[in-house]
Amino acid sequence: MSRFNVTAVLILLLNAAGRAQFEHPDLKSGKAVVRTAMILPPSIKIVKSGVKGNETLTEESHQVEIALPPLLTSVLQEHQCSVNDKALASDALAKDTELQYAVADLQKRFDEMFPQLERKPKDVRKGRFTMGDEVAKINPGGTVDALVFVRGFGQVNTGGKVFLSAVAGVSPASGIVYYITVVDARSGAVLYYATAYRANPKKPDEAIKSFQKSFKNFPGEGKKKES
Amino acid sequence: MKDRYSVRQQLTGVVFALVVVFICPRLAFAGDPVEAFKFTKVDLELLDKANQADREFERKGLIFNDPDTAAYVEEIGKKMVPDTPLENVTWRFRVLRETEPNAFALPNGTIYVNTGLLSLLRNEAQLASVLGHEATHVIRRHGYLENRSYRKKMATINILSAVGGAGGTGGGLIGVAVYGVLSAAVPGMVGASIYGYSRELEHEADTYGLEAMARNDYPPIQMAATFEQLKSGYEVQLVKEGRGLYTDHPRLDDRIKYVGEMADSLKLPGPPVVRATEYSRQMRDVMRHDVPLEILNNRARTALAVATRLTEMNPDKSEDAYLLAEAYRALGGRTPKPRPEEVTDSAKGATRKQLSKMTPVEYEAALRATPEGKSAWAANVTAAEANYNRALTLDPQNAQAVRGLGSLYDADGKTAAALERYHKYLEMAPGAMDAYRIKRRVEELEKSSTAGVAGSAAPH
Repeated sequence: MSRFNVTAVLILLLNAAGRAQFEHPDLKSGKAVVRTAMILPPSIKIVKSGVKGNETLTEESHQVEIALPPLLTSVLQEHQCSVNDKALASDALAKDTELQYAVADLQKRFDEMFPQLERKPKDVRKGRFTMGDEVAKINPGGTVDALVFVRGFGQVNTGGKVFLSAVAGVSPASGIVYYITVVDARSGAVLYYATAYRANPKKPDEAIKSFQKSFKNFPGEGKKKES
Repeated sequence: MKDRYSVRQQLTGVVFALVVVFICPRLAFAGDPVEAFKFTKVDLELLDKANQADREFERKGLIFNDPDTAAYVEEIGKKMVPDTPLENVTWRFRVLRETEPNAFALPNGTIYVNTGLLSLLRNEAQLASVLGHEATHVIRRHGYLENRSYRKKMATINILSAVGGAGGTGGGLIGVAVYGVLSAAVPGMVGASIYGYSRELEHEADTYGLEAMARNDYPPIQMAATFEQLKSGYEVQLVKEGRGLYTDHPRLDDRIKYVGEMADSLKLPGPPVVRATEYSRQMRDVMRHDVPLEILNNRARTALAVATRLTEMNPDKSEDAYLLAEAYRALGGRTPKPRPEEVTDSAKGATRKQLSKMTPVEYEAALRATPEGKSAWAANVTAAEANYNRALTLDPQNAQAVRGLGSLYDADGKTAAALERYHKYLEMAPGAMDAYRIKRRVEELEKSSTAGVAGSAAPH
């Protein structure tokens, strides 16, 4: 297969990744309803790939982490899901060490499950994945229906890298893939899993359309509008 | 993908260029005065990245924010660094909420020690050996030197790969062969020269660390004791210890040997300072914090070892008996120490395969279903129950121990006993962070017992 074809296949795969979404049977049947949610601080890693090696763009990654929750909030609201954006805000976490630790531990628990989730996303439809009811620790009184975990991995290439790759006859992949997981805030079951792809990792504002597509199968008003 | 996204790996990735580079740098000339170091634009960029990484650790809730522990580690750390200020270095000593027994330094002077390492060490001299080693990486500017070296070598790799790639595109059969050889071998060959310096550099850090220890009356032989502690981990090591060119540190056996030899030749100016009791006293809260973290990271055997040490240090402390009980419960279908059958290469391979295919919950269930797992679980239930009860004897108001007993009975299928303890817990701690979770579990158990059906998985 020529290098051009390899690049074309890669682009197709990334586009497909942008559409992939998987629902838990309880969410699909309406047994589980998500009316309220909390978005955990997203974890984004953008790497600058250059001739002199790779470098994590820490500050840029953090800016994307800050920009994503409001975008996701607006998408969730389209699905009649209100978002509690205060409980896990950075100032709230800074004031409460116990909560900060609990959130960090929950993120760790999610990251442990994430590789399997990513490898077999279709198993979300079988209700296979759960984080356990430890998730309820950050859901005092059970007032929230779902927790939203966001991971993102992106790459930007320097001009030198693009040039050298062109000399080698390949096109280096550039862009960002977001992985969005909606977890039952009481039982820990993974209710919804979707990915979204954008070409420019540094412009999260452009991701909203991808997020809307990623939530196409998510129950609520948004789905009705789409259909 | 796991490497990309686990919290530890992700944060390691954030500081990859800063930290990993420390383990594979070009050796600075030992005689060079550190003042001679001239900062370039690239170095200042790295310094900026280091400062960003510091903020990132704080934001992610990974710093153990205990003022007493921080003050103690800083007190020891300050002894191990020079009095004279270094350009672009602000000495900071921080404890990371991380179970891996590890420590690292950023080029801006921030030294991180994991709770997992602090829990493993036995005295102040051992902590000094770790801090002295890490401080050397900063003092000798290892990070900057390696970053420069890494960038040059990566440029070589990329250019040669590109040349190889062009050959592969248009060079016919020979071109394809050249492409294959260059793409496969050249990065490896260049990489070998990159990673080949690691042993020398770590050797230098060990040497300077030993000298700093001796200056402060810490017996240098305690550095060898630290390596012995690192060697005697409690978990089955599924990943082989790094060997040869790609090891992070010179192999521990080698280090123990040469550190032992060097330690003999260093004289202390005053009486030796080890301070095992003071260290244990200072680290109690770190160890108490580390036990649940070890459990969270599926390192129940380490949790058990740390909790056992805590109960030995404080036999009348209810909280420590509770942590020991928690560790036994978390062992699930594992024995407290690895069985000989678990540490064979084939068994490790089978475990790796299972872990790659199963979720943690599935793996635990599979482990408990084996005959060995059932037997281990029965023994662990007995030990956990005894320690929860001991915690309650020492402090009848220890609500966590009551909840722990409930969870133990729940996981063991003793629904009535579990419900009794859960109800008691909710009476004792109605405002607890996990009160809602327990209430929900009670409802589930009551519903399932009414229907005569076993409940789903018990809370952890």
